[in-house]
Amino acid sequence: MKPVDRRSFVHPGHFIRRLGHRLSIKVAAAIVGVAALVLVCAGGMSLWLVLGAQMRTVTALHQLQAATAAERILRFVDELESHLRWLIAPSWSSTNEDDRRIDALRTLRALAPVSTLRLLDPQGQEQLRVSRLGPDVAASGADFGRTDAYRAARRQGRHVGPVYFQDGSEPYVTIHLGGASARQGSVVADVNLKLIWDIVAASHIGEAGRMLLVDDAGRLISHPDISLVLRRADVSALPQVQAALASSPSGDGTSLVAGRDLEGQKILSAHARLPSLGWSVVTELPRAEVLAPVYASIRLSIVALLGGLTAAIVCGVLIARHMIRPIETLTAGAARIGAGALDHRITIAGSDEFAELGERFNEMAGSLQAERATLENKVAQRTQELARANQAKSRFLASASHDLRQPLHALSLFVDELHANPTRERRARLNDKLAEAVDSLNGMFDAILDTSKIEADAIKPALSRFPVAPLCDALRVLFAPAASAKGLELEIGSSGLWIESDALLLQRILQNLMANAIRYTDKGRVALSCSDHDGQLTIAVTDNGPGIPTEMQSDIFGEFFRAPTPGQSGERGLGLGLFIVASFARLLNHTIGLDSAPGRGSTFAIRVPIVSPVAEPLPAGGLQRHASFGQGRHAAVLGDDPAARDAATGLLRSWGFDVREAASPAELESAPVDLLIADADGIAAGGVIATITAIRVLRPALRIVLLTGQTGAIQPREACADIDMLRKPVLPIALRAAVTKAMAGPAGP
Amino acid sequence: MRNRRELLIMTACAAASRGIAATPGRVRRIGWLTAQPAASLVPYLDALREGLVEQKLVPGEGIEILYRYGDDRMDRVPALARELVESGIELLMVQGAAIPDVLKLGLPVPIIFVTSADPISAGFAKSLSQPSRDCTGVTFMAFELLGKRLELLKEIIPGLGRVAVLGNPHHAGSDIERASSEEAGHRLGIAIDFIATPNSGAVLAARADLAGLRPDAISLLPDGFAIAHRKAIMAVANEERIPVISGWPVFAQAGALCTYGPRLSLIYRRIAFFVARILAGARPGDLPVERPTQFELILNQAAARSFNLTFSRAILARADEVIE
Repeated sequence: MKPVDRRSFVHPGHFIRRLGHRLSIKVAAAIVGVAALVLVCAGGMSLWLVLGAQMRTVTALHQLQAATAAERILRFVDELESHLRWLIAPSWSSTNEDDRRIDALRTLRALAPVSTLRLLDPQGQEQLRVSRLGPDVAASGADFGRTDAYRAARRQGRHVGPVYFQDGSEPYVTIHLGGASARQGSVVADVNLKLIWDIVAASHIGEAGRMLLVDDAGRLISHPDISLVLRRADVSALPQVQAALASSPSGDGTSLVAGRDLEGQKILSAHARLPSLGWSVVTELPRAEVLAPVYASIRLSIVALLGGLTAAIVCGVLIARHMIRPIETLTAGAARIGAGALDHRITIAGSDEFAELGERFNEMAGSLQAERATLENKVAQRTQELARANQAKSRFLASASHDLRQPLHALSLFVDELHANPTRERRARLNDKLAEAVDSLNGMFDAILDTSKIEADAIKPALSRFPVAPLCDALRVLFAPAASAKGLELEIGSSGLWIESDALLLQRILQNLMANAIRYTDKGRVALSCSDHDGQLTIAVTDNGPGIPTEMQSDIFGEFFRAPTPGQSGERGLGLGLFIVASFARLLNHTIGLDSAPGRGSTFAIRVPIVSPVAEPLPAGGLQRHASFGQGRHAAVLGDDPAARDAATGLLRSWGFDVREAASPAELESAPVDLLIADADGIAAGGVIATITAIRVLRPALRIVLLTGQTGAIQPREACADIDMLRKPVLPIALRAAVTKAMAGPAGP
Repeated sequence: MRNRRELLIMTACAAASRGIAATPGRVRRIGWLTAQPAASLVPYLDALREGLVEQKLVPGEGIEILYRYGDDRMDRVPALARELVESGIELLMVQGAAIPDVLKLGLPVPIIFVTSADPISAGFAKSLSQPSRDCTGVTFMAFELLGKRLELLKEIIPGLGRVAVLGNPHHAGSDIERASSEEAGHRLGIAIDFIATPNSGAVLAARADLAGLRPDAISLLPDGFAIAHRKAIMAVANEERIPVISGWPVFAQAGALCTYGPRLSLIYRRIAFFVARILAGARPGDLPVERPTQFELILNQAAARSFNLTFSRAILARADEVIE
């Protein structure tokens, strides 16, 4: 017996719940995992792109602001320049000194950043100086003509000198403007750059950003906190200033420069160069302000990611639950069906694969249920059949033992009578009676043996071609005495045709049919007829006995069936005759027909294939077995007790055997022997097996029956396992059965 | 223009003012000390208060200004200064002649000076860019302008040969101003006479000097004293038929022929920046001394006519304002 799977004892609900949880967690985890992966990837990528775009935007914005601030500074200087240029627009000679002075004074008044103005004649000599604080000087004649600034201004129109710090505090620059033609004069203006503060302070750099203006040495020219300028704070070392000074004069930076302002606050910086002035605008933006939108994006992305994840978890759990529910239903249903509730049906709504699967489960359960019902029916039927067979067997045993006892009882009475020395006439009658009783027994044993052989599947039909006439003759000889004894008219027809069958089995079939017909017919006739139809020979056995009721006609071919109304003679068979008929006919592939009705007699017909005659007809002797089945066979009786030998010899001879007696195996040498009846007690003790073995070596085809007087269990050794052992005293019937079996079985191992 | 400027100042000093305004419940006290009478400074103190409002320091709302006036008595200055310090002021603004005396006291509060003198030569600051540790302020650049005024006088008054410089000898740096005037006079070929007017009495006494010297013009050194006594001084000058030049519009309005000097209201307004920065924790030494960047020339046409003078085209070209 296989060990029981313990799991099948776990409560199905618990099992399903566990399964459901595991599965739903897995499904949910898978969905959430995929969603998270997608979200994180998409979020990361979009964040990366957004951050990149934002950084570019921020950079561009602040560079633009720096450029705008630089533009304002340039415009401031350009406006100064355009005002100042009015002073030298006319040719020097076309203006007089007074007009030039008045123009210069007006210009000075208009241009607040200019503290001193000088007008130079075309030769570069100072002809006028007006100042806000210093003395005005007319025609000092100071020669500027040789200065680099003057030459540069003459050459390029404008020269902006280096930034200097008046009294070490206020940033100033000197601007030289030269006329385009040689007839024009020049103007030199000292400009107080402190007044650029308006522009610098007005430049909005982000929310809290600011701009610095530095010269080419990194000195602070302007700053929203003018104090830093006035105290000449050193900004040249700041990385953003360094970056501005290091950048190419025309190009702006491509990215923001990280640094710290003078207060140490972290800033990001853009810059713009003013190449014409040699100055640079540097913007400083608090890092936090610049990165605020970036951080906002990151925060937004994280919030979106968390939101997405939450949605994924919710969806995942819902989907998992939704998916798991039919599986749970299926599992629960399968568990219930598996537990035996075949009438359980799984209900899953919808038309999806799960519903389909549920339907399949239901169909399977239905099939199982139907199958089980069929099986149960079959089992019940078979049980009933078995019970019926059992009953029949029991009935048979009861009747068979009674039937077998009848002739035995008669035999013992006759034997007793013989012992009483009856008269000669009486003895002759007794002999006939004895023979009759023995014949009766023989018939019964033959039937039992045939049945047992059929059940053992031990009969292999040997088909041959033979004429049907000798068979009919044998039957006539066989049944004429019985028929005349009952006063019945016996008609045996014949035919000159040849048929193909097993002669012995066919004879047994016809014998049984004939015996039944005679047995159940009290008066009238019993006939055997042959007729050919369509290449088949129909051999019919007809009687005008009581007939068989239609409802019984299907049962009569079963084992141990006996008609409830036996013939008046009281002679009964064992109920095996028709079973044997039907079994042999099946083996021979012959069909059996029955035509019968109560009161109208019965006709059993067997159809046998007709064949063309062959040269050598089968010897007729084979058909005489019933009369003396030992005829033509050689038997030997081996034993040291002459009385015992005599008894066995007498019996064997009465069955037709040619018998030879021997006291030792040596006496049997060279004698033809088909059957050996050996008295095991007569062979030297312990030598039985050796003897048998020796005999078998010499005569492998020898059929052997052993007799023994031992009372213990008979335990044949291996070498003689197939040999029947009979316990003494041996009844003739037992010996006959053993001999019949030995002769029927295959010769030797 | 004015609005934009206010906005800019507010923006620039947002950090400083925020720290102050964000301290509710606590009144921060600052002191104002001058040796002059209150009347002499009214318009300028208004400018100062406007500046403070621009810096989000509204007097009466978290900040209190304690004003102390010496009423021309220099000897009262130290006591007033100590009194202010004892009142718990966090900084002291000192104007004019009181500055040297206050600085000598070594008060434990930051000091913002408001001077017409050169702070370096007066010893108020080591340099413009880095003044002394606990003292900074603004200057009106008086002495640089003295030569400029003489130059203007010479252009307005043909044949100008002698100018009397009238000034308060107690004024810090007055020696330098006097020297500077003499040096400019020498350069321009003008004889300079210095008439010291330490008090109102001296103003009247100056009349005799003027009558004796017969200068072609008077250069009145602009300071609190001059403002306080401008009417008396102008009266004396008019009686002597001597045109007066000085630094600030107030004198032109009082009858002076012309004035040339910085826009004082801007400078007073600028003081508020120093106040805000120092209250926010800045060291005075980190706040450079600031000088005016804007100057104005005011001409008094009526005065010119009374002296039979005509403003030339060149002078008019320079003028920022002509009073009829």
